Amino acid sequence: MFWCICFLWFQVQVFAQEMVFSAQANAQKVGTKDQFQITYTLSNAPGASNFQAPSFSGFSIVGGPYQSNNSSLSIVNGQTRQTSSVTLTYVLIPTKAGTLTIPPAKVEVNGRTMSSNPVTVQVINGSVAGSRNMPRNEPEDDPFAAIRQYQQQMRQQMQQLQRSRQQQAQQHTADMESLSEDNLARNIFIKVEVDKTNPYLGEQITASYKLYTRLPMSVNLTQLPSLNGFWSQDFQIPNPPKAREEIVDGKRYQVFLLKKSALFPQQAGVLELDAAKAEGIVRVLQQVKGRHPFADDPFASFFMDDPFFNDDAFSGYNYKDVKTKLSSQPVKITVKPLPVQGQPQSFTGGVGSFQVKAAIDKTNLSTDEAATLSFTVSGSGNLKLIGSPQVNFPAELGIYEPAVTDTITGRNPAITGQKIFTYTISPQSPGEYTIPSIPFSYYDVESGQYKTLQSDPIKIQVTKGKNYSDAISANQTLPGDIHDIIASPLSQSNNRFWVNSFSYWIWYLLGAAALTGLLIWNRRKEHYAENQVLFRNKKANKVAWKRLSAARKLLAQQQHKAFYEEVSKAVWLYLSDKLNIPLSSLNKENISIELSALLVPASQINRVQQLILECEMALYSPAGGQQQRQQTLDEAAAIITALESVLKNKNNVLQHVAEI
Amino acid sequence: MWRRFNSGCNLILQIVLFSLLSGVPAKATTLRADSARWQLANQLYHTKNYDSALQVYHALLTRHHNNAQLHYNLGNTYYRLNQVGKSILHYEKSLHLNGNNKQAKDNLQLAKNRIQSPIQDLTPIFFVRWWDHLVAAVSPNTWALVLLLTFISLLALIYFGRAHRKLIPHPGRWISFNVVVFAFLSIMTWVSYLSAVDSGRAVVIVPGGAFLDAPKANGKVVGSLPEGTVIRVYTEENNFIQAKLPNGRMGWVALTTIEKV
Repeated sequence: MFWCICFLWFQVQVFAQEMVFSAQANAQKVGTKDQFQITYTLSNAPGASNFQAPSFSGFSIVGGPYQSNNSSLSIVNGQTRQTSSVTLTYVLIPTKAGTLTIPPAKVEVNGRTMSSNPVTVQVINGSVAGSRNMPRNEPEDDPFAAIRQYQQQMRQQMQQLQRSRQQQAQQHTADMESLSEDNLARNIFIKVEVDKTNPYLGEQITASYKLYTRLPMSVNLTQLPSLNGFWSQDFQIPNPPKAREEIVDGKRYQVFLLKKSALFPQQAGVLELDAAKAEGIVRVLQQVKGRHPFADDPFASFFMDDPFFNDDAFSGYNYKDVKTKLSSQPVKITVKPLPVQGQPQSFTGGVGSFQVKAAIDKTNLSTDEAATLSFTVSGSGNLKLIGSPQVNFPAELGIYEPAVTDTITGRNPAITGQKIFTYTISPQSPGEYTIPSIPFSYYDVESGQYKTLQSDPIKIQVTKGKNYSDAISANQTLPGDIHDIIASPLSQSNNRFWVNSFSYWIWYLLGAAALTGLLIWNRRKEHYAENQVLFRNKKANKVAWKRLSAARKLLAQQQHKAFYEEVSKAVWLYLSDKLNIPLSSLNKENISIELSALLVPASQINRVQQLILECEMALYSPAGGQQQRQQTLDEAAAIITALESVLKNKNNVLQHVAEI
Repeated sequence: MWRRFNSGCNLILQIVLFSLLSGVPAKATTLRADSARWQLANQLYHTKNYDSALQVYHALLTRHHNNAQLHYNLGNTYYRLNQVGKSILHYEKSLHLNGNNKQAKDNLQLAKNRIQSPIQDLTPIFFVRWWDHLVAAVSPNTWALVLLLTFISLLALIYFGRAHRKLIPHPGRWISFNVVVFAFLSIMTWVSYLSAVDSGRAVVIVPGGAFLDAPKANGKVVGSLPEGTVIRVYTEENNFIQAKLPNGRMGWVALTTIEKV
C-alpha cells in the first residue's frame, strides 16, 4: 500500500547541498523476538525517485515503510542554508540468529542511481532487553557517526525551519490519511477459501472464511453465511480467535479464521456460498501536526528535533479509528450429479469412503426378549445424508424401521464418523433364523465409481418364551411349523351347487307334476264310476220299456213262460239299475228296504212285491188266461211309470248316493 | 294301474339321468396334464423351490380355482415365501371351499400369528358362532338334498291325504308341519348357498393398507391395516369397499389393497 514511493519536490529555494543517502538501524544487536527499525534517509535530493528497498532476507517486515519529510533552513554566518530530507522507516523482526547484513537500498536522483550503505546486525536468540540504547554509547561502532555530527551541526537550522515544516506536515497528513483510508480494502478484507469448486453431489468440500488484516481493529461478525443447499458441519474455531500470520504478495497479514465448514452439496447445479459480513472499527495510521510540548521552544526542540533520538517528533504520526463494513465475495460452486450408470440398487446416497459392520447384542434369545441389531457405517463422507439400507428380514423376527444415530468423530481434513442403524428384533415364533447380509453402496469420488459392501450374515436362535406358550395354549395347540402340503392326487373340483343346476329343480317339477297327474288320474277313475251309475239310472226306464214291449210281442205269440221271464227281467233290471245294486244281490227284502229308503210310498212297494210274486208264481205254475197276462203287463208298465216318476223327483238324492 | 305309473316314472328318471350324465365333460387329456403339473408343483415345493412351485400352482389355478387342496398348497407356498397376506388369503379360500380341513385351520392360525401388530379379534356372541358353524358345517348340496326329500314327502302326504284317507288319519296336520320344515330348509339352503358363493370376506395383501373414513382417495386415514388382516366386505363404491375390521370398526379400503376370498 505504501509501496509506491512518492516524488518529493521541495519548492523552497536551496543552496547547493551535499546529497546524502544513508541507512541506519536503531540497534546493532537484537534478539529474534525483538523488533527494530531501519531508517533510510535521503537528504538534499530534490529529484529523487524510484526507491528500491533491499531484500530483507532473514527478516520479516512488521511495519512500514513509514515515510516522513523534513526540511530545514539555517543561517550560519549570514548564509542561509536550507536542507531537506526524506526518511523511510521499516520495522523488522529477524527470523534467524547470526550476523545478518541488510544490503544497500537504491534510489534514483536526477538520473543517477545512489546506493545506501549496507547495515549489519547481530542477531541472537531470544530478546535483548535494555540493549536498545547501548549502541549509542559507542560512537566508534556507529557507521553514521559522521552523519550524526553533521546533523548536530544543523540543529540550529532545524529550529528555524519549525514553522514551515508544520505547514508542510499538515498537507502530508491529509495525504496519508486519504491514502490509508483509500487502501482500507486492501488492508482488511474477508476471503472465502474453498478447496473444490466442482464437487460431486454429496462430496465434501471445505470452505474457510478468513479475515485478513494489517491494521489493528475491533470487528464483530454481523452475518454468517447461511450455506443454503449444503449440509454443513462446522469445524471448531478457537475462541477467542487467535491470529495467524500469513504473507500475501509479500505482505504480512494477521489472519483470523471466522468460520470453517465441511460442506456436502445436497442438490446438483450451481450453488452459491453467500457472503460473511462483519462490521467494526479499524485503526488507521494518520499523520498529525508535529505537536509536542516543546515545539515552540527553540532550545527545547534542539534535542527533540533530532530524528534519531526522537522518532515521534520526527514522524509525527497518530492513529485514527475508522468505521468499516466488510463483506466477502460470494463463491459459486458447480455441483455435478452422481453418475446414473452403474448405480447399485443398494445405493442410498453415501458419497465418500466407508466401512460397514453388523453386530447383534445376543444371538440366543426367547420370544419374550428383544435383541438389538446395529448396522454401522463408518468412514468419511456425507454421513448425515445416508439413507437406511434396504433389507429383507425374515418376517418372524418382527423387525421394523431402524433408529438412526450419527456421530462425527473427526473433522480434519474430512468429516469422519459413524452412522448407526439400530433395529430392534422381537421374534414372534421360535426357530433358527439368519439375518441376511445387509448391502451398502456408496460412491467413491477418488476412484470415480460405486462400491458395494456387504455385512456378514448373523445367525440367531430363538427359543420359546413364557408368554409365547401362554398365548398359544390359550388359543389352541398349534404345531411349531405349518402342516405339509397335500400331495394326494388332484381331485376334480366338484363344487357345482345343485341349487344352481337345472337338473335339481327338475325334480321339484317332476314331483309336482307327478302329484297332479296322480290326483287327476284318481279323479277320472272316480268320475267314470259315478257316470256309470247315472247312465244306468237314466237308461233303466228305457230298458224296462223295451223289455215290456218285447213281452207284449210274446203275449201275442202265446209264449207264456218267455212272457213272464221278460216281465220279471224288466222289473228286476229296472230296480237293479235304479237302486245301484247288482242283480245277484237283489231280492224282495232289500228291494223293499231300498225303495222305502228312497221314500217310495208303501202302496207302490206293495204293488212291486205283488207283481214280482205273481211273475214268480206264473213262471212255475203257468195258469191264468190271456186276460190275466194282459193285466200283469199293464200292471208292470204302471208300476215302472209310477216308480220312475217318484225316483226322478228323488234324483238328487240318488245322485248323492251314487257319489258316496 | 300302479305298474303303469311306475313305468312312466322310470322313463322320466332315465331322461333326467341322461341329461345329468351328458353335462359332465370328459376332458381326459387336460386332466392328465393337470395332475402331472400338480405332482411337479408338489415336488418343487418339497425341494424348496417355492418360487417355481408357486408359478405351477398358479397355472393350475385357472382351471381349478374351486379346488380346496390347491388353495391349501398355495397358502403353504406363500407362507414359505414370507408373504403372509397371500398365504392367509389362500388358506381362507381353501377353508371356504372345504371347512373341515383341520390342517388348513392350523396353518391359517400360524399364518395369522405372523401378522405384524395384528388387529385384535372380537369374538362374536355364541349364537352368531353357532349359526356360522351350522352354515359352514353342512354343505349347500346337503341342504338341497334334504330340501328335495322334504318336498317329495310333502307331495306324498298330499296325495295320500286325498286319495287314501284311511292310511293317514290327520293329513292336514302332517302337511302343515311338513310345509314349515320345508320353508326352514329352503331358507337354510339359500343362506348356505349364498355364503358358499361369496364368503363376504377379503384379506389385506399389502403391508400397511390405509383405512379411510370415506370412499375417496383423499379420504382421511383413520388407521393402517397390517398385511394379512381378514376384513368383512359390505358395499362397494368407486374402487373402494366398505369393510368391517376384526375389531368391529367400519371404514373404507381401496380395492387395490385387498383381495376377496
